[in-house]
Amino acid sequence: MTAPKTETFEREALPHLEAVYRFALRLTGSPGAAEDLVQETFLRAYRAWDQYTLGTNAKSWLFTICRNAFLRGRERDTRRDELVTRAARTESDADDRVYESPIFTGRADYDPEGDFFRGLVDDEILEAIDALPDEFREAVVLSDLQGMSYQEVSEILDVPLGTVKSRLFRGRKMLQKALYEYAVESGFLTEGKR
Amino acid sequence: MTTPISCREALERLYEYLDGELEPESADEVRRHVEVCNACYPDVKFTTEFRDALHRAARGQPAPPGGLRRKIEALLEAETEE
Repeated sequence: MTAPKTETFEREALPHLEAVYRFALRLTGSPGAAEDLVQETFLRAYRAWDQYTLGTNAKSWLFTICRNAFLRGRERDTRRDELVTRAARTESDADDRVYESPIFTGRADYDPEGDFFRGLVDDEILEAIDALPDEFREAVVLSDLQGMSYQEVSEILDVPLGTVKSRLFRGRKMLQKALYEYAVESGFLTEGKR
Repeated sequence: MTTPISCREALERLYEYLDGELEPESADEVRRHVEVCNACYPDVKFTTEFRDALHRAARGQPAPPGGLRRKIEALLEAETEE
């Protein structure tokens, strides 16, 4: 291994440690597992560093490695597989859907303008994101938490741009519904606030 | 000068507009519509509040544990020595 390799890696890859850790945390749902995944990600990235073109998108490249490492290591239980199958079916149906509002319409009774979002604490929002089915969670995390472009999300997830849009469409709507229901159940969103 | 669009067209493109993913002309069409449309206002405000909450939560995520960078550097060092 040459010194320039270490230098360029430290300069281009390591600054993304925090972003990769946060992504890993949302994938694994546990700080310990996220830490292991991040270490594996950077080690894999270092070994493959000659495949990376200096000055391009290191963050996106690291996220791809992180996600692939996560998918390889993940236990595939039946329940999760069922969820994925169901979600994929919903996704393909979306292509021929009649017009559907991109926004959760059920909120109209209590809070049509979404003021309740201001009352939610970060952990409640992050828990709701963690509860989304895998492919919707990945799209929402990459776009809304990491601020990546649709093109970057498409490359990391290895799906067409249209699929990214469809997953964001559905994932965000599911999240709005979950947060709205949480607010109603918690009692801080009541009809009186209309 | 852009062509006026309907409420439905504006809402269909709303996320892409807010995400900065539309071509300038298309973004301009959405902007011109939502700036003045009372019917779309609740949907636009709801979506904006939602996005703001997500961005706030993104900033509130925990930072990596203090020793993680050191652990990674040690791994890379060991790899370099091999």
